Amino acid sequence: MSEQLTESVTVPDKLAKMATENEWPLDKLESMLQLFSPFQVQILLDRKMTAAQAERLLSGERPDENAPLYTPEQEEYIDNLKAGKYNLRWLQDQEPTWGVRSSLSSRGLTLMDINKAYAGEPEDVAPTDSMAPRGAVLDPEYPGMGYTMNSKYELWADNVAPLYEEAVSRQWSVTRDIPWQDLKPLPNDLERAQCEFCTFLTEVEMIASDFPAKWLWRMNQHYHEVKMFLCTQAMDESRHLEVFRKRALANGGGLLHARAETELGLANILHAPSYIQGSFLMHVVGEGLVLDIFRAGEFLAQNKVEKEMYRLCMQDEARHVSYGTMHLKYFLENHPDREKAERELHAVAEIAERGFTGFLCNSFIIEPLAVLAGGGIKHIDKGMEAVKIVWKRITDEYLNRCDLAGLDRRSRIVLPAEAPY
Amino acid sequence: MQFPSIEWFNAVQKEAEIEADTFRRMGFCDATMLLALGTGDDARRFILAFEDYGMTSVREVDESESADADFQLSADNAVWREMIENIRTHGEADLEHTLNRLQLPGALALSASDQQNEDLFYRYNQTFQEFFNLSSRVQTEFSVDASA
Repeated sequence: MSEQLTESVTVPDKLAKMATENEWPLDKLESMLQLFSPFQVQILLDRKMTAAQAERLLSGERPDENAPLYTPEQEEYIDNLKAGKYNLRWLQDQEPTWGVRSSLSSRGLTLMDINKAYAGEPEDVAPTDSMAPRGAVLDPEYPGMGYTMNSKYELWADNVAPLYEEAVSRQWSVTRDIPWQDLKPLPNDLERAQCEFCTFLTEVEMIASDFPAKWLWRMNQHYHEVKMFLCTQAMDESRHLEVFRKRALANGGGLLHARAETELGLANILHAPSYIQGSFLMHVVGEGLVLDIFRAGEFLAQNKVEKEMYRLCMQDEARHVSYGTMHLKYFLENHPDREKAERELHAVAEIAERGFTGFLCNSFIIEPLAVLAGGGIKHIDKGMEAVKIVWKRITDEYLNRCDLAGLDRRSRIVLPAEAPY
Repeated sequence: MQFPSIEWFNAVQKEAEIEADTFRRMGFCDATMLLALGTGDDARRFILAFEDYGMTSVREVDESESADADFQLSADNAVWREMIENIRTHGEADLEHTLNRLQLPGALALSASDQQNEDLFYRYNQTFQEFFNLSSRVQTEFSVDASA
């Protein structure tokens, strides 16, 4: 029934107290918690279900018609409604944001307009562990979401709200917006090069969906703008997987070779031990590198299909890099122990720079690029000149982004400024 | 219409307004782009402001005002002329004459005060490309020295 079975469980104090009040034996509660969450069990306790009724329900048998559906408070409310009495407490609450009327900007009603309208900027430390909207009234007792990222510096970037708006407005469709009908057969070497390149990109792109998805639920809802932006990023990367997979399979070629080296780079991001480490690796290093690869892809496009797909992906990627750079800046500027944070990030950066070579000295990446740049396998030497330009741009722009964020890699970078080949 | 001139850029924007649905679909674009045409004392500079879905203003500036832009694209007149003529011939930039294609090897030089501003060129590239592609509809004449 479940893959979550554990040897022992911790019973939350609140639940233990409720169980005692409902005369549930503690061992029964513990066994229930091996298969079900405390929140699922609380729903049964709230309804004053007996332990036997709860056990029967959790065993998956047909519903016990005597088991209560409503909590005592709900039953009282139903009785009141039957008697024509409404609660109306929601009309009497103190509403901190009541009376707010946001003005519109030229493009409609943006998150920035809303935040400006009621001093809705997030606080440095999230005031609750709930999903209650920032600006709303919250009951004094609530279950708690278990967020682990509750400080602004851990996830914020000052440009995140406009980036979200931009992301939503600049969405595109792989099926509709790429002129697939213009795809024409290519010479075998060029098709193979494009397909190898697209195999690599199909493989790597969705790490930038998986990584934010892994961290999203840990981020306090108080900082909803970040979570919303990361949702757009997850969608963007899904689209990137789609476009490169479609291109590889659309023109007589196919998906080619995925390298273990690439997998190592991706695992490095997905399993980063903290959000800042992973965000630096993914948004600043990885997506910065891929942004230049997209630019090179547009440069080397053999037809309008490739031109459009690389250009559109380039736009999406640039937004992600922008968030990552500004998040790194915010993180460093607001970290309670900046020196320690910088030391950690320098170590992460040095590993990442050494990891760069897994891409920039990977024959399955740079040789297809060189074949595309040279116009065929016969001119691969000429094409390598373009690869060298890409190397230089990647390292230059990486250093520029670190400068902007306040992480001085210029004096420490282990990668040479020029390609070693 | 003479290229480069404020009238020429406004004429392209007029064409963009005709294609408003396309620009809306491409999404918001917030950037000020400085185009530097030619070199030395004869160089001319234009700042194009893009806001919401298109270009909202254009002005000719001198060197001292260059810092007002988020990023700068500069090239010899001949590069600009070739790009505009190519767009005119094909109805849009061909594979060899897109903004990014010309910029990456350095025919169009891209510069900015920081990487975040430089990245705006990539973030809104589709809008910029579509804008310049619409110059195919504008009857264009080049200054005498435009091939220099």
